[in-house]
Amino acid sequence: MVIVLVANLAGCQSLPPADRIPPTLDPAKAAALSPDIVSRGAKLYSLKCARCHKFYNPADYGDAEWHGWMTRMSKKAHLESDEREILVRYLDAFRSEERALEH
Amino acid sequence: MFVALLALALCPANLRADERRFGYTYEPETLPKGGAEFENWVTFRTQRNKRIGQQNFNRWELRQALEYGVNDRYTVELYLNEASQSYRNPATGEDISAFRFGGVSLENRYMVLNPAERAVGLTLYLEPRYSGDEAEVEQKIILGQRHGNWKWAFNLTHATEWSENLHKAEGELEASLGIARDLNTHWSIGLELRDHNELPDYHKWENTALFLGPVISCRREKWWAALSVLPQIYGVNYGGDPDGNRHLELEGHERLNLRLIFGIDF
Repeated sequence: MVIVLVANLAGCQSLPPADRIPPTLDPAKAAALSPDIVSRGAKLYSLKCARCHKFYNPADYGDAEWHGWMTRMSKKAHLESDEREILVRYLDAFRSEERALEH
Repeated sequence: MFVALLALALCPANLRADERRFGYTYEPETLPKGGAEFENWVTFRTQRNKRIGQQNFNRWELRQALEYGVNDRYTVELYLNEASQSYRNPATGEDISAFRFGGVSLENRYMVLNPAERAVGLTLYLEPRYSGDEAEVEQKIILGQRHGNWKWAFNLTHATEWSENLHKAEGELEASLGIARDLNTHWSIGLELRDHNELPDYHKWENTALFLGPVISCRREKWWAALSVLPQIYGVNYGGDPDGNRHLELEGHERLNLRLIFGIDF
């Protein structure tokens, strides 16, 4: 029964609830991130952040406040230094994307 | 337990990760790799009846656990179990009480489907327990998901317990469902529904008991707490009516179960 359940759920292609996943990031607009960094950042976000809480848009926070949250959440999620760097660049891209849209 | 209740009462702010919203129902999320936590569980089971020879029945079940994220999908938890039980024998008027060490458990949880990537999260659970003259193996299928401020989780549980120097086996089947709503980043309230069944020697389905009640949880940066209060709302003993109560099952279960879990992150 477990095998059937796992197989069915694993085969299911439906997405998680929308508020758990960040919006699609356009690297061209956002701090010129490589597609590789965007992909790895999104994956890390899903594995380390979205498992616990909804998406909090970095663009809604001031620089100091956002930096404070990233420091605390990095400790909570036990991020390695390279993981933190990728996530910071990925999430900062949402802030620069907003600024690009404003101009 | 007083410290944990006080912490729950004074709980202020912070959103967090693997803290539980339910006392009995597990959620599919596991600890992140390298994450570690200490948990203290207090379960209080009270009120059977004198018809079955256990008047003023009270049972305290305690657990102290260390949890560790081996990787982002696999979490292990090592814990010690103790139980203290007391009741009055109405036939003799004698008060009987006993404290027992319930053994060591090693809980294993593997997140097969991450709820952040799939429509439903799925985690498999396996827990062996051993105390010298008793052993138990428990398995769970854990499902769950969060939708905005709402979270639900559903567990199917099977356990086999060997007692009397491992000569006697008893089966247990349980289904539980929890639904909670985050009031803010710190507090959640919800409901838990739990159906517990006993199958002695797997030869017969002895009883079933259904519990339903509120759950409240609080999260802070370094700690969290969850309290479930579950009165029995319906129960049946299929072997007759030993407790003389047509609506509740009071031979193997109680009128009220409470569980408080307190976790500290480090």
